[in-house]
Amino acid sequence: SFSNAMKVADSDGPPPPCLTCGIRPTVSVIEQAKEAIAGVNKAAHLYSAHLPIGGVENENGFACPRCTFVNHPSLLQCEMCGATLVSKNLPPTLLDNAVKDLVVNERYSPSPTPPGVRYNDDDIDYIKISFRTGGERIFLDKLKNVLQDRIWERRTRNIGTVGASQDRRSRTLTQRLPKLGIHGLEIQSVKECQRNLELMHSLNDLDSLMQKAKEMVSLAETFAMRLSNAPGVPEEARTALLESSEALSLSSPIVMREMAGSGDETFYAELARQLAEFLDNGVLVKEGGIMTLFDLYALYNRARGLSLISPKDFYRACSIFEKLRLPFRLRQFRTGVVVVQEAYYSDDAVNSMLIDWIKTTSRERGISLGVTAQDVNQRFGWSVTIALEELETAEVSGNLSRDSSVEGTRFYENLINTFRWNWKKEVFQERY
Amino acid sequence: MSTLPSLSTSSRNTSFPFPSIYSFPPFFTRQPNSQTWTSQLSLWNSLILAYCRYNRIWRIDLNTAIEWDLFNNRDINRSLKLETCKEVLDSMVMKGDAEWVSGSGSHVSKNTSAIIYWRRPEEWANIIADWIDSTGQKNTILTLYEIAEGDLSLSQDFRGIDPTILRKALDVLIRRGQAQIMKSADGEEAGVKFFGSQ
Repeated sequence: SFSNAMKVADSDGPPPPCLTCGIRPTVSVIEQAKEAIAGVNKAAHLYSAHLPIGGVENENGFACPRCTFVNHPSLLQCEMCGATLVSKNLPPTLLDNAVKDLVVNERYSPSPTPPGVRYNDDDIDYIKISFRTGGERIFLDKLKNVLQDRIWERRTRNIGTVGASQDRRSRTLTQRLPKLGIHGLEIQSVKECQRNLELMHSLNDLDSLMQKAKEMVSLAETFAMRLSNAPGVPEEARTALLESSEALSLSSPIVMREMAGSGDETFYAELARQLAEFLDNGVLVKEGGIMTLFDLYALYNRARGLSLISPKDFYRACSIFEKLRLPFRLRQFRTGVVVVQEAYYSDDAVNSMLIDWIKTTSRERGISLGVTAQDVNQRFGWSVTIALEELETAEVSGNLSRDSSVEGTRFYENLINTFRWNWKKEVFQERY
Repeated sequence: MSTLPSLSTSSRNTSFPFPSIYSFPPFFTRQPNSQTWTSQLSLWNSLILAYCRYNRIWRIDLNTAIEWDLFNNRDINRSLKLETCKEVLDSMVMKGDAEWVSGSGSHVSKNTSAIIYWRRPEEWANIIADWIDSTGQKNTILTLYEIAEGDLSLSQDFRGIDPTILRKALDVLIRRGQAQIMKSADGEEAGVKFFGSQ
């Protein structure tokens, strides 16, 4: 029933090549095929083996000439491979044109690609070649040869102008590329791949930036080291450099929640360890062995740079110092101020140190002087907040007394508690 | 006894020998520590009693007394605040060393004036009784003015005693049966008659 099939068999000239495999069948092959399918649906089989256009018809639809996938009759493109389907219900005139177009150019072996459709080389990353009746080994050998010889390089030089015109044509055709079906999805995924690659490249740039940052930090540290050892460097420059290198980084990698994957406990433990290391690196010594929790939080987060931690996490990490036997601990003053301090000093030891100092200085400087929180800050390096807390703690324990005036609050050794005055005897010489 | 190095005596009004704690700046600040505050209160209590006795002050009116050198140490530029003063006097009243005098008519000036008992009424009663004994004035009638300002009491400790304190001291003697208030015809208290101590 299909005119083309009859043409092939009856034509006097050489038969057209198979559109699936591109091999020109000999007349004998066709004759054999004819005999083999005798008695069965003749037209359909002939069609399947050698006819360029249309597809095998069955009750569900008709098969793609390229990949044999059975498509729904109303589809124009193969759902599997994207090849153009030409329904056999096509009017004979159109069909003739389509076939002619394919057969016209003898230089190319025709492919099941619909007539006139040519893919832009840029759009195609791969070609799928099916071998249905063997021959893949021969093909592979030939392909290898071609790749070795680089034939296409010689050829482009020759065809030059032709290529350009073809190029123009193909560009208009790319717009007709299938965007639907599995083939469309494949193209989409390829494009996705490319986009990802580009992203990866740009992220590589970021990585290299971070690499450079690390180098900068180590550079700053070596400068700081060298400066601190070198004589004749102004003190301000030294401290400024030290602070900047401190602000730049931590010596160990930043602990992040994602890294300590196995639950919160691990995360807090790691965080606590890093905090301890951070404190140990001279931070706490600079603060006189005690610093408020918020000062530490600010300092530590500055050292972390961008990946800040929340106050909640920070507090939890600090509160397990003692559990982890790290040499620091939290201490809460009665006013609610929480500080971090070295674990070896008990609160009383710290306080009696302060009281002893006040007693000796007041003896040296005379009774009417006393100390302020600023004095304590200068002597012990504690922040003023902490100095005040320590002073008030000593006051509560009865060791200090305060003097509030317009000049501020000064703290004195508590003479009020110990002073005894028998006025009747001393002023009036009475004996009682 | 104090071991403080300097003993400051502000001799602006008096030559009262202030104790060394008077030169200790925290002494003029109300101490937040309750234990220290208790000690501070009792020191102020003693200081006020000694100062008043030394200067023979019977009453303190805080509105004026706050300017006294008792509450102002100009050498160290410290002074006791009025509300702290009141707290000190309150505690003295609690201990029986002072007594608030209700202000003359106005509610505003409540608790600004106080009688200071640098001797308690019982002590005054003993002293007056001894004085009566030693001057042979038993069974004579003396006016209150004569006791406080009379020629015979010139060198006595109770010279110029505040009438309220004197009345309280006499009340003690009356309770002991050593004295009796004599009234004039119109019901006024005219004098007091002393009996010998049993």
